[in-house]
Amino acid sequence: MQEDFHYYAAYCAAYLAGFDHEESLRIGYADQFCDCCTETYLGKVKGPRAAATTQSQPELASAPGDLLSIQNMTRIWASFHFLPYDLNATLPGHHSKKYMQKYRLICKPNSDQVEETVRIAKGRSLEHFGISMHVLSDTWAHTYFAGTPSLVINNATGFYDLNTDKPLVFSHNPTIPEDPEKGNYVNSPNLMDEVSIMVLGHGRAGHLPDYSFFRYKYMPAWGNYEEIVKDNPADYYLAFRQMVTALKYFHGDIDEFVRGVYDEVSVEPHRERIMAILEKRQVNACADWKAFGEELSGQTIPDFDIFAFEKEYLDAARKEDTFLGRFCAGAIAQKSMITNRIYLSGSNLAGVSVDAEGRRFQRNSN
Amino acid sequence: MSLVKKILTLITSLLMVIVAVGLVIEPEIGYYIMIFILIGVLLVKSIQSVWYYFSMARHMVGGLFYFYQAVLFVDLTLASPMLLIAPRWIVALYLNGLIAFSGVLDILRATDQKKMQWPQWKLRMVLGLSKVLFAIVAMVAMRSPEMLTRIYSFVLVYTAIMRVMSALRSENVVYYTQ
Repeated sequence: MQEDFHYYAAYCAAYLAGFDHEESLRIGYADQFCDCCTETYLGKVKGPRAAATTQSQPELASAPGDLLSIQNMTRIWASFHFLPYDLNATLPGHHSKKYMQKYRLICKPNSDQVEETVRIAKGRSLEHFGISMHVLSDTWAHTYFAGTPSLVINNATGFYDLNTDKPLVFSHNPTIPEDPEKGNYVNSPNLMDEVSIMVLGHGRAGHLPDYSFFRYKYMPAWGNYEEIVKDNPADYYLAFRQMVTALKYFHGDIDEFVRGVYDEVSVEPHRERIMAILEKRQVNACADWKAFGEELSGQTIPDFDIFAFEKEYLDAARKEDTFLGRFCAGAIAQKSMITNRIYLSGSNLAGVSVDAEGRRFQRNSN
Repeated sequence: MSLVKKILTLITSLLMVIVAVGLVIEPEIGYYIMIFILIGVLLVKSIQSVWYYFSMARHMVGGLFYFYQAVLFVDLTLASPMLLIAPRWIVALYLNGLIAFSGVLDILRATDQKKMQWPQWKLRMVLGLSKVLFAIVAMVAMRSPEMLTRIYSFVLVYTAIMRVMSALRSENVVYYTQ
């Protein structure tokens, strides 16, 4: 997902869930900021580097590819962008421990992890709500990919556009702008290396998972030659409804957040409008989501500005009372929770972690 | 690159230079050392490839390719002890072939890195072109085992220098928004 969904659609979801304009803006901002908060940025503002929620391309390119850098990548990408679905998954037949550790990081919606992500944000800051919305919505967009570099999991072939009924051909040149009308799409090359950053997340599928209009099928490396059909508009709509449910839980309108429950009351009246935005064949839907949000609240939604809260943080005596301070606290809690869960499942792919909540430290012997 | 890894890289680079100097001083012994190093490298690569196929790649779509790759490395490893008794021009051919192949791979990776706007692509491209050029020149000019050993020493020193440059390279990254 991109700024259109993470910022503007998150604003709309928050407003529909009962938050006011200013609160919705903060939630949307924090949601989108998860795609901006790199170690480089945190170094610049002297923030805690452990709170990084993403990595820039130069950061990834300069990562040495050793165990520590792979663990750092996994902590960041699995915690915020590719939430693991089943950390105890099994497969028929014999598979090596190393393979299973990677297989178990495959992202899907409605997991234990997403419930816990929402639960730990409850009662915390608006910024933490925004982080959890980023994580939740990405489980729908990034389904079937893992937040760790892995050729055997994240490689993919045979992409076919179900909208145009044509095979999809990718180039590896990021300077060529993506254009659905011309069929220009970019993906990362296959360097035939198990831990290359080219096979981190959905790089081999290019930006297809990030476009709400796309319907396509492909063959994932892990899928035993079975094709997967992805219906992004339907998935994005469910993501939006689930976000409203979670945000109503934060707002105190429902008592419990349960996976598989999608809001109908607040979203259904806007179904046609939302689906029209989701199905419009465009690589950036910011304008449409912004117009929808402004219609809902009657307020102007400012453009996303990555530096909007930087000065507040730099000037503050108590950093924890600022947007960035609260964002970092939420990010560290989320990263700690997921890293700890991966570690407790018997995997060292994300390194070791203490639970930020209870400071527990225990490893399952299985 | 972590500080520990930088230090390890510098130490191994220094060892490579020492071995290279030793090879030039004692070319006849150096010739056999060179072949044993070659066999050792191929053996490690073969074991890695076979292990990767059976533990990981056999489960993936298209994983058979990695089986063929492993078989190729095993074949090369099994054939490599014959280099000890083979005519030296065959050794030269073999060695230069490996250097040229490695150079072509570097060029291909540099091309990809350039497309992805990686800052390191120029370094890798220079490395790849140098290896290919070196293999061609060596093939034409080489006549004696001393020359072969000197060429191999040069490759070792060159690789060591590139590793040192890589370890000491500034890792400052520019700010980037997604």
